[in-house]
Amino acid sequence: MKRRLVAAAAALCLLTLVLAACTSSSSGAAKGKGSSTPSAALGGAFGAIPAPAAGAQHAGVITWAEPPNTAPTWILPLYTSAADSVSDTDEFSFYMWRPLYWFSNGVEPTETPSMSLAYDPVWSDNDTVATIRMRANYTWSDGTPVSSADVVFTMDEIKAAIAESAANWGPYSQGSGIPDEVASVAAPNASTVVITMKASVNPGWFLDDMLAFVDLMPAHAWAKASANGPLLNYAIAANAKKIYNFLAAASGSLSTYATNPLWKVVDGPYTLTKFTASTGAFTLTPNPSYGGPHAKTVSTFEAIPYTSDTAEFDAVRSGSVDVGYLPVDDIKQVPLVKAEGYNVFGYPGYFFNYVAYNFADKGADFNNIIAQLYVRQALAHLEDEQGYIDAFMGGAGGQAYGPVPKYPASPYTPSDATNDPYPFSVPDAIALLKSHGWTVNPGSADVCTSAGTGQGECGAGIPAGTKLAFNLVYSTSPAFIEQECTALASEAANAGIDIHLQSSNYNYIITYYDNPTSTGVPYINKWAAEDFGGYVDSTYPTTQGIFNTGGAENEGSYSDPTANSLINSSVTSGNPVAVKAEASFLTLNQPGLFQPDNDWVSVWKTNLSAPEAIWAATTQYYIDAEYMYFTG
Amino acid sequence: MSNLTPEGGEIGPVRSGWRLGLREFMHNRLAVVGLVTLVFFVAFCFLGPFFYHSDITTANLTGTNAGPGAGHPLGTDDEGFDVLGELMKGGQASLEIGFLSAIFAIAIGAAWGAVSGLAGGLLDSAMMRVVDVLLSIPFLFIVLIVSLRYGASILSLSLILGMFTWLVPARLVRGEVLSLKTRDFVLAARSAGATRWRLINRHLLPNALSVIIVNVTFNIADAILAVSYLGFLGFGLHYPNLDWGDMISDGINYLLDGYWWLIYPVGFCIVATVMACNFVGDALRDALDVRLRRRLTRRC
Amino acid sequence: MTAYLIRRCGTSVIILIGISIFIFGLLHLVYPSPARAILGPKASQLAVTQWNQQHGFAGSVYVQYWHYVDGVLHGNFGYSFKLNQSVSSLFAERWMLSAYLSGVSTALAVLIAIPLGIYQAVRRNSIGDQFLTSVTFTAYAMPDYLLYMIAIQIFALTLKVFSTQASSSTNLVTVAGDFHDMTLPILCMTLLILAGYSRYMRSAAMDTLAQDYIKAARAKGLPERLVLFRHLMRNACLPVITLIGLSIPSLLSGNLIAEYVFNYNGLGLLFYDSLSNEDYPVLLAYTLVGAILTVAGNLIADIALTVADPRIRLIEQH
Repeated sequence: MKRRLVAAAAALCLLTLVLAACTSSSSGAAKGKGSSTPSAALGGAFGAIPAPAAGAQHAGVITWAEPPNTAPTWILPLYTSAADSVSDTDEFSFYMWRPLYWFSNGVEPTETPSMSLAYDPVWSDNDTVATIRMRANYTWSDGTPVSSADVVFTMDEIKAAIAESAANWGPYSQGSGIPDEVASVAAPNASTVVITMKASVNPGWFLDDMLAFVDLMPAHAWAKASANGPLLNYAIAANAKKIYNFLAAASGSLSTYATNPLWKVVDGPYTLTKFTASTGAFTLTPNPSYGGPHAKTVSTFEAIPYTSDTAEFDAVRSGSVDVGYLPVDDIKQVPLVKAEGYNVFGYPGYFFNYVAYNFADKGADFNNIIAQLYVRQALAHLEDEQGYIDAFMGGAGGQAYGPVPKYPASPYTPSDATNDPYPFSVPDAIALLKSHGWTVNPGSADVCTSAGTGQGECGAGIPAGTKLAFNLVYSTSPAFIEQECTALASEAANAGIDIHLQSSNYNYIITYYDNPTSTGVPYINKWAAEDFGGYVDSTYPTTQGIFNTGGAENEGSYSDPTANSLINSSVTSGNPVAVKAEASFLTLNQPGLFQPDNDWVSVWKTNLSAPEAIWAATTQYYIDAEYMYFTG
Repeated sequence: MSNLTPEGGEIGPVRSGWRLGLREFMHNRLAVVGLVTLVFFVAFCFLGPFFYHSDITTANLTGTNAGPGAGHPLGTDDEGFDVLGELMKGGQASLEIGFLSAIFAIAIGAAWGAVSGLAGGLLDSAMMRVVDVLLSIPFLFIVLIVSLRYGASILSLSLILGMFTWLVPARLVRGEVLSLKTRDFVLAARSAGATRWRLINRHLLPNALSVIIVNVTFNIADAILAVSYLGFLGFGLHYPNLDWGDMISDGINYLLDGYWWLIYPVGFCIVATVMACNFVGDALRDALDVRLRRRLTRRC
Repeated sequence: MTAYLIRRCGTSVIILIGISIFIFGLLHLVYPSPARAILGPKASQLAVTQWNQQHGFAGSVYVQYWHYVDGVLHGNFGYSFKLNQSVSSLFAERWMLSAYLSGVSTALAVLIAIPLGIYQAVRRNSIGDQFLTSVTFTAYAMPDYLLYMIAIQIFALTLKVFSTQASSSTNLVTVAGDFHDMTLPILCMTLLILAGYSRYMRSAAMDTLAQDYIKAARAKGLPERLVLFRHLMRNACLPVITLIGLSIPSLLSGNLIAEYVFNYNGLGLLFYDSLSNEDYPVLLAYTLVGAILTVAGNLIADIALTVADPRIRLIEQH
């Protein structure tokens, strides 16, 4: 065991060194993120990215289309659960405060070490002690270098925030990771941090999913309880609490974002100079002391809010925004957009869309029906993923068969993710049902005729005469959810599965059709399947919290002992790619019906250039404007 | 020429009042056009599917958003369903909801208004205050909020709409009852010993009936419009049911793509049906309104 | 007359109380607590409970109602957690834009409707009357959004004279000067309001024409022009006052549709976004404000009528 761990640790060190060697750069001109795949070689891409333009570069004002309902409502890097549910929140604070580790590399959710604030942690003592060495090139805008004290400060503040309320830190999961499993954080010197855990953790998971969310805050400037007060010793819990309350109050005052001196102390490429709370418009100006890679001259970055996709597309059509996106409904307009002087590139995001099954719905014995794997497999056979992509996403989408999608590729993509285990085939679905004792009545409902638990029989708890009919509640936004559910219901009818569709909206579904919540308890038997979208995969894509028994986001009460043990091993075992086994199992076990990923299609003006990987990253919601420059 | 038609006009047999009204109605060309249009749409929506067969339940993912062409006179929508078939099916739901909600509204409203008007005094005040309260609440907002929670089916939408449209009929009926209450014929009937029920049934309601009938027609028109608004904003019926508003809400996503067949045929159906109801309603009001009739009979 | 006014105001207050109870109760029934919607699906049950306690959603509905009314009377309409702003400040930012759109459209509609109605009544069944009637009829039967879509298709997409979207500025002065963006929404709304008004104007004017005193005026030998101006105009204008007062609710819903289609940063769009975000405090506040405006509109309409029309005063006294 020990030897394997040592070998793993050595491999990790080697990997880190190799990555560091490949991407280490001197300051100045933008260097490519060497290890990302050039767009031409990317599978699943929609459109292509031109190579960065050579020749004269100059700075200007980059206007960016802010998608509707993504107006920032929180600026503090220690963001709340509420702020976390607004998709752009950490994006907004990333311009100003960098996370400890930067996990975005072109379209891939892998690390770009040159943009991380520290070298990867070195684990010891059976994966309970992580030693982190800070990188030397980052400083705060007032001159103080970014140091280990900032890491300790941030970790202490996270602890204080959680102590007040579990909802105060978005990535928090009770009993797991930071801060619940952290025994202590120490800074022996200015460039070293030692984190001691209470028990062994999986190093891959802890780095990708926990440390990567530690967005550093400046201890030397923010460790105070009032604007003109003295700096406090944040190691004392009472002080940490006062500091947190002060910072949170400042973050709650949207009208002061651009003026509060707190927010001027940054280590990222930008400082906020203008912010309009009511619309979400903001302007960022370059921070000259930024220590990471960037274009020769960094441009000002202006976010233009739009109240709807139609409004944004209108702006793109008239060429009035530099970087924007193409809404799903307007995919057919690509030639028009190109004629207006834009490049177009789309790529699936690193998330999964799915229809969640309710394994606790006792209505019409649905819980017993859906517990049968063959039923879930039959449903998977009724999904025409490529058809959905072509018809509803205009071809801008990628297939996904499990919690880890086929694209973008990541080190954690299991081999099962590359081929559909249950391809679209109505005859296969019918055969599965027939071979398990169902009489198939296409156009109306199938009936279980051979009840029992033996071979060729329906399964435990399904009496004879049970109809295969259930309701599917879906969110009406985005539009393709309704379209996919309608198409699914229509194909299912061909196999005699009677799916009754019910429209709702996202907020309603996660409030009432969510078994672990108190608001969801009265509705447990009222829904059989729901489609509210899906979840963004964490960089280390474990579905802990979603598919483990008792997980806070396990809406449908899915419970499988193998899944539980695999998820547990993803988070605690020493194998840094343990999550692959978990993803592989879930792909085959279908806790839900996994659906295609929709592309995010970015458009940007042809006179704006940057390394290819930067444009690729925009499809993953990373707008790294500090690399962009105007040409010509 | 002296005024021969008695005020109120019901001491004589009620029949002649109606016949006069009917004749007046048929003389109004717009009314006839409206009536014919309504009959056409009812036939189109309910009988059409027997003659024109189309598949609107099986998605055809390779033929989505196709323009008018072979096999699809009005093209297909984003699931590949035939638009003309959807128009018929959607029309059924829209007309049904329009009709049902008007019936609910009138039933509740007439009863409320009649009781309130007849009772008078404190009860009347209280009942009318309730009406005032509900009338002051912006209809669309409440309906949107409620539809969010209580899913859309034909019955539930009719109920929700009916819940908020009985207020105007209640007021109208009460007004009629109030004005009729003091008329000579009512006093005469009362002094002759008529019970309250007889008063309501034989005398008050038939006279208020003209107001009620006109109001029903306008209610149907308003309900069809209201359902289309709900559908447009995303709160209409969903697969496998649909209504006209729902069709337009799908269509607006493609406004900039030029898929006109998703928007304008449905729009035309809604406008035509509502206009027809309005024509009929206006004509009925002209025909059944006593004062106007008095003026017109003098002319001929 | 004063007694009548006092009584009328008193009734309005009772109605307002009734409205607040009804709306609050209904919304509480539909959305007991916005906690889960705000904290997102990743929040734990513990976090939700704590949030409810922190923000006053844990007590009984009566207590919550009382706190809310207490707040409203002090100008606090609640707090939008989704947008991290107080509802009052949200409204303060956007009400002028909605008021501008409705106000300008209503003003234009009234200016056109009065002479139009008189013309139609006097020249009943002429070619002009019939043409105008059919135009207003069609507009009256058309759902708002359809008219907007047709207008956008013709003027913005095909002829490219105007923009497909209303002004996205939040500054009233900018919006008022932005003819390229604002003309379509304003003109369309004007037409829709006009359609509603002119139906009333036509029948009201006709009714007035039929009244005995008009005949008396004509019999006296008054010139037709004077008949029209002095009697018909003044008496036909009365419904307009009532109409404007009574049209507040339809202006509010009309705004909702117009702002949705044209992406205009007014209160209507805020309401629509809050629906899908389940932003309960905004929904509650907006519906309440709408109801208050409606009651106020009715009251003003009633008072104006009473002041202007002696007949009603007499009937009321009787």
